[in-house]
Amino acid sequence: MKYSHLIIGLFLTALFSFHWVKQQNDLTVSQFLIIKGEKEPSHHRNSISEELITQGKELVNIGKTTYNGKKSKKISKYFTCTSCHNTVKETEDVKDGNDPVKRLSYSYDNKLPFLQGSTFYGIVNRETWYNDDYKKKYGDLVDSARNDLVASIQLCAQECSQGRVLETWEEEAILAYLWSLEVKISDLNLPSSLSDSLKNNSNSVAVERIKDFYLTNSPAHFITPDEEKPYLDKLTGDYDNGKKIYDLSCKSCHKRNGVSLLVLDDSKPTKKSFQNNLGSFKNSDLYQIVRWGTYPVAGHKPYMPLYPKEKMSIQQLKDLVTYLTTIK
Amino acid sequence: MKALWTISILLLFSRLGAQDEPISIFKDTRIVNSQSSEVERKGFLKFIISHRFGAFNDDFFYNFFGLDNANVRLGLDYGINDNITIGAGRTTIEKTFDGFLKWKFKDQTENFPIAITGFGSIVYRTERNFLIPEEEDTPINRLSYSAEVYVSKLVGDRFAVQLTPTFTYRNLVADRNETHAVYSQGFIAGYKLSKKVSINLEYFFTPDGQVSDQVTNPLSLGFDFGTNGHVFQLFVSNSQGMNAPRYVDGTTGTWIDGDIFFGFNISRVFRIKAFQ
Repeated sequence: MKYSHLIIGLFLTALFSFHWVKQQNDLTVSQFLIIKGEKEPSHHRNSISEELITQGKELVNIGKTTYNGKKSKKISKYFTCTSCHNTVKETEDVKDGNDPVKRLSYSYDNKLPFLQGSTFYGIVNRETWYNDDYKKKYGDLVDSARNDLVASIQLCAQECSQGRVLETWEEEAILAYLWSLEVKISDLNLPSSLSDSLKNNSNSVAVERIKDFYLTNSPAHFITPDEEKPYLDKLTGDYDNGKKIYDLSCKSCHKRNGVSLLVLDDSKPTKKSFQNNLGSFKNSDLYQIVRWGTYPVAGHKPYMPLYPKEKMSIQQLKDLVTYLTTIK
Repeated sequence: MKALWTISILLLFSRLGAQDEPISIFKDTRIVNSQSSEVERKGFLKFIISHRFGAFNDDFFYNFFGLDNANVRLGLDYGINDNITIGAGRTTIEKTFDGFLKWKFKDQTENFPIAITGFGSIVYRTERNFLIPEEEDTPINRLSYSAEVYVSKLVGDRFAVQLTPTFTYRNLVADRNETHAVYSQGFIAGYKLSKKVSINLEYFFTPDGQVSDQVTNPLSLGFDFGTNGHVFQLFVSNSQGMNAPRYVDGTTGTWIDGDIFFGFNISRVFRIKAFQ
């Protein structure tokens, strides 16, 4: 009898802890941060309607939607957002999104394209966009976009997809859809010990600790074929891994009726062509095209975006080259 | 009838492989004079400039390699969707306008062995035919038609074959020995020399008793050079015709006599509708 209070106390504590953990897991990352006193980011919106999310989803996936009963004009003739960005998790653990090896493995298991751009899943939880070497590609245009998601969306629409200026309602619709793809606390691979400590930590420490478990930016480092060659020469390519990359990456655009007019297959003529042009620094040179991409020119606006090292590793490029230049 | 049943059964079973990736058999929608089983992509407009120079045996150098006697067709093809293409063109010979509808019924895939495409065209001659009285040269008599089926297959990575059963119908024929309806069988073979270059052979056989004795079977040999958005086709042929009623029923030259015409098709595609 004398232990009954202790047992009831322990029970209530366990129940409260369970409730706290469950409550935390139901939260999105931004909700958690705001509870912990973090300032709302400039792209935060307090109320988002389902209709706006649906419009944003259509704009992202097919480039047009219905607004005020009228069909909107397509954002770009050449690309949709999903030509370069997935809208789902790309790695088992969201904090591994910049690891191309884990990304490829997860993409293969889940039949996802292995693309140049970051996934939109959790893109609103980032704090910077168009990081690092994107300055080399887009110059001063990234200055305003780097710390502003809405400006990044505009830059993407106009430059990356070679489309038009988005209207304000389109910006808001896309933003609404992106907020629906926010990372939740339950997505984070938090150790149980951390869940407890988050409860007890001061707000600022909790905020800093939770940010270790999701991505707050996407590093992007370009490498030129010249710089890369010495590394490539020392590596041995994996044929099977190369085929995975070819199928999930190249063919996601270069398939029949895909984004690109150039259709790629696994035939000998295609492989021979890659083999013959390797090291030529032409667009048909794998080293060149993967790391440099192509650029829009007058009369031909569609182009191929490049792969930064974070989106395709040097070893993965070697694997791809091995697959495409090995004729069995 | 048996062939029709066979095709129907193949189409029925092909539903099993409906999700398969289609295989590109030919580089372009045209072989030389005739069409291939390929169609335009949805929302793409293709502008085609076709030239057939004068014959090798017709003062070839004096006529600047046949350029002075060139026959030209300017054409536009448009992909209504990924299976249906419509097109129109204007050809110098007999000042003809033509329009066509091309429908791809089936793609060759891993689970379906062949591609099947249907084609129908109407050709209208605007030039006065001075061999007949003016009152007989009516608009109806200036029309001719063609209906074709393309059954093609890529064998291995490089070799492509196509059978092209072709029916043409001419409202006006040159003499009583000719029939209005003409059946001809096209045989086409292509070989990919590389990713961008292929060689094509095109031959149409018309059984006797349908056209006049002067009409010969067209035989053409050409090369395709493909780039992103452009296809260049260079070839030699004993026919200057670019519409089926013309090259099937109106070819009179022979290779042996030097009635060989050099020609080219140059195409450029433009994206009209946005990518979906």
